[in-house]
Amino acid sequence: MRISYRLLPLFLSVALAGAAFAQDAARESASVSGYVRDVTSGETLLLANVRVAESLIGAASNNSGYYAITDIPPGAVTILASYIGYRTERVELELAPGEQRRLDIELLPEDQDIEEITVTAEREELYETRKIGVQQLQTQLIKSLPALLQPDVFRSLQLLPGVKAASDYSSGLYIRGGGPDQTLILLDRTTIYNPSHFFGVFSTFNPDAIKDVRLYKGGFPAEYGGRLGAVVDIYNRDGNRREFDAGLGLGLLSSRAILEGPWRRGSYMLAMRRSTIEPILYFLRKADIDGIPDAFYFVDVNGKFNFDLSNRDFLSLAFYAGQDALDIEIFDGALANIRYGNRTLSLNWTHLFSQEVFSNFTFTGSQYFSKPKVELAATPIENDNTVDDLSVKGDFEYVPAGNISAKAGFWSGFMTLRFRTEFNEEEALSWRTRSVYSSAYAQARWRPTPRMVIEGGLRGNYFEEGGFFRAAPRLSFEYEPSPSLRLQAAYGRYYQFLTLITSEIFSGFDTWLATGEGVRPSYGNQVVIGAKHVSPRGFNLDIEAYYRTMQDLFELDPFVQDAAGLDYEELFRFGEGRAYGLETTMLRAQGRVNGFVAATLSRTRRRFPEVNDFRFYSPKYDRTLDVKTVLNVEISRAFRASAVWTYATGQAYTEPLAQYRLVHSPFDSDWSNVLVTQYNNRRLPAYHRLDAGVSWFTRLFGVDCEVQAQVLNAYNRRNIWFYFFDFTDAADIERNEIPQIPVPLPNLSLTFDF
Amino acid sequence: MRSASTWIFALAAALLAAVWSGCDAADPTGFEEEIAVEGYLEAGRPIGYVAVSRTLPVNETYDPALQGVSGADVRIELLEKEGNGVEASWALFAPDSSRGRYRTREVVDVLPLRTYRLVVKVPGTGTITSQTTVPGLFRFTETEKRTFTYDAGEAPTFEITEPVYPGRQSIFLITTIALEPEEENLTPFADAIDDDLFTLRENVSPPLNGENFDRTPGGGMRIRYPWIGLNFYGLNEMRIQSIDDNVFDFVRSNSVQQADQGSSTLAPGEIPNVIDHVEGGRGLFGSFASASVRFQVLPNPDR
Repeated sequence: MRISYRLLPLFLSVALAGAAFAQDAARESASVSGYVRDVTSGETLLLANVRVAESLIGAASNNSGYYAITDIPPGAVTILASYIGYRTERVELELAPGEQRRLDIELLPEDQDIEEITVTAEREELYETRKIGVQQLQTQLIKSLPALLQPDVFRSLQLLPGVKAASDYSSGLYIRGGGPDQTLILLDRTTIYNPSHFFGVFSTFNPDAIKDVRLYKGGFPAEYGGRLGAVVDIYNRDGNRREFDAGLGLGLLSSRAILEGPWRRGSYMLAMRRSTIEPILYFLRKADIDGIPDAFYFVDVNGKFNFDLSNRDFLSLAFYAGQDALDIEIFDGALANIRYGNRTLSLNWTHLFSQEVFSNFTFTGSQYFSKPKVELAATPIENDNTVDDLSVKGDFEYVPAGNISAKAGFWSGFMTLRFRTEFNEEEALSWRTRSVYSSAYAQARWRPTPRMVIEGGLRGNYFEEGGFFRAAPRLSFEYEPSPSLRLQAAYGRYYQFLTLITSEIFSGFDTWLATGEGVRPSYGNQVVIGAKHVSPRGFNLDIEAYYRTMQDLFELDPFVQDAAGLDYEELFRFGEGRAYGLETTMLRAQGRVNGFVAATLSRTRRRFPEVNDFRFYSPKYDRTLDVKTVLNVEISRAFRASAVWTYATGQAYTEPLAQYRLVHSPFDSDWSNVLVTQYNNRRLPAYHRLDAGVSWFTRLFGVDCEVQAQVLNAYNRRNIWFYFFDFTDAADIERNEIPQIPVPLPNLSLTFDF
Repeated sequence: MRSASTWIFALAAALLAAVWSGCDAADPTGFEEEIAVEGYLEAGRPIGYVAVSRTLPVNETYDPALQGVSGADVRIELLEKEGNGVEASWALFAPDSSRGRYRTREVVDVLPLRTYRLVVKVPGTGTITSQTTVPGLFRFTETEKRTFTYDAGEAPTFEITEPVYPGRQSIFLITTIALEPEEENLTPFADAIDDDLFTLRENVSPPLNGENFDRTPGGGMRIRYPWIGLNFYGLNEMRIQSIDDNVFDFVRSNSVQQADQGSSTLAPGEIPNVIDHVEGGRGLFGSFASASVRFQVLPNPDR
């Protein structure tokens, strides 16, 4: 389906005109707007609930922590503001007819008042984070979960329903049947192109520096685009606006530090992480063990500076820089020097035109680089692979009185993708794609009755390389038959102009390619329906079902071994896919015992020419049933325990059916052994694993301290990663098991809070 | 939500999960015996053997003598230059009927840039066919033996005349064959690989596109020899094969299947079939043109 781009301004006009009409109709009502912040640090709280007591009137704070509530009857009102992990704040107001009141609200974290850690009727769900397809991840949860080496954002996201991990060693996100490249990763509104450290073992995001992690698994609104499947929207912390604060975390294999504090009319935050495995490498080298790297580390730095120009204008400057390095002599005559990483910079300006019109402008720069150098037998091989992306984006929110509000925005940029290979000091390959890209969206939210919300939008996308313009409609619907139940549905069309060459085993050589001559953008439709129920005891039950299609998928043809002289389209294979599933989550977000149980039933299918005669097959990451259980127990003020248990039916793999040999080949004998297969025709044994940990909060050397002891794969399950079929000298074929984490893996860390 | 409805929901969900996961998409297809053919046509050389064999289950030990198919009707046809008609046809016979290897009775030289078809009929299994277009001939422009020092200065270069292949650029396999494969001649890199001398004796490149190589003013191609191709000092032979589509597709897909179970862009454990261009069976019926040159390599005293 194609929709003319001419509809875009028309849609925007209608939405804004409708909103303006509604404003006239409700001129006598009052409105309240402002920021929601943490009282102890001054950090803005994103997607907090603000509502008028004893009514259905309310709003959520936006991505800047700003909220606006209109249509409030004049007179005495009580405003309630709530957020997960914070006490609900009540503010009594007397509003005059037509009054527009600025009300900044500050919330007290629960851990400042331990006596209050019980579930009360006042605690409630976060409205925005329970929209269809949306999940928010609390930073505290990320830090408390047992983790491989260190707390990790993506590892925690992999626990959510609908999100799958390819293996124990990969932090890549496989969301609702989509691969990692189908998820847009944003950090402070800036695209991150390779969000991995240690070649994919964990993600680049430092939990210390992060304020908010939000996942849009599908059916996301028009304000997001550029990917077929999902969006991970991450915001760094602004820094403590009240007082200087510092933290230091010491782990066995990595350590981290953070500084934050007030700065003039604003704040700053600086966080750094680095792996600290050098002592282990030193002892291994001393023990004369071969193949120990000369250098093997990752490092990243997050920073953010905020400055309030006025109570209507706020500036922030955020940056991220991270790098992974590996220098190793594999054996005599085989050297490898690998560097890869990301750098981002974003300048953000938030301006309140009025209490009804909120705007945000961001200038972003993002660079990804991967520069591996290998020398084998005096033959140098060098790659130079970069993505440079400069962009500007603007978002406007219009919240007039009445039952319609609107959002509109644009995102325009200039992207350069380069990939260059030198073999034996000669250029073997050089690709460069330089493209302007632009998108604009408009979306309107209409509440025809207090219990019903309809949101529609349209996003237009333009990609210069290939000259593609695509328009993508979005629609969502929500109805609350009772205060505890919400029924939801969403539809969206999505386009993607990029594809990623990556490996599940090693993400350090990730390469992005774009549409171009003969290579059209991928597109897909998503339909999601859901029901969300909140019980008075604080249990939330979410059920979502989805169906999505993927058309014109373009991937690097795995059989292309030499690209010299090929036309651009000859690099790719083109295919299609579909995915559908049912996700169920039982969540208890608060209380001494909290956590969730999530079960997902799903199917993912792909088909490409030359694979199974173009019949649909299950990709490896397809799992029929996933069950994930996360449990946090606050034993006392000093002790917390957490456990994660995951169960999944087996992943697809290829079990060869037959063999034959070429007996007088004039070519290499390695090519004489042949397997006859049906692609991904079998399933691995079921996967299950228990991770557990305890935290002890105490004081050491006069400093607040958290001691964490954790163990992964606690009951020593030998899960299988994949099988490798090896032709032996005895003319047999051996099936070798390559395991996931093969033993119980302990981890100990110490975190100081100065 | 009432507790009863919660339990009903949980029960229904568990039932659905059990049913759905019970239907996990495992393909129940098992082993089915097929006929595999193997034959190579080298431009300007006589037609060689064609092997006919049966595939074997993966969990059984492969014995070529036992897998050979005797009693097959094997024929090679030279197709007309224009159209698909048969210009000439040769029946092959099996001199040793138990091995499943067939050859022509007469000496038939393979013509470059012509298309040949293999037709194999095995009683009870149908007809297997495959056809190949033979690459054009080429040669080294300088054939006298040259001497180089390992990893010293500029890499050695060799020049060949430009081969021709209909419809696409030429694609090459470059094989280095050590003619003095002694232990003391191992290069440091080959020594560290820790493989046996027989295996190291021949070293073949992956398929290389002709566009990798510079053109000379005389219309030839200049091949810059990478030291990674050399395993032994001393006398070596470099053999360049310009390959047809069948060999190219077979080799590039087989190397993904065999060597890259996990190291290509495919996920580990995802194993593709080879691309074989054989109708009604499996195997490889391909062609190539070949040229070779000898050169001497001396150890580098500085390394």
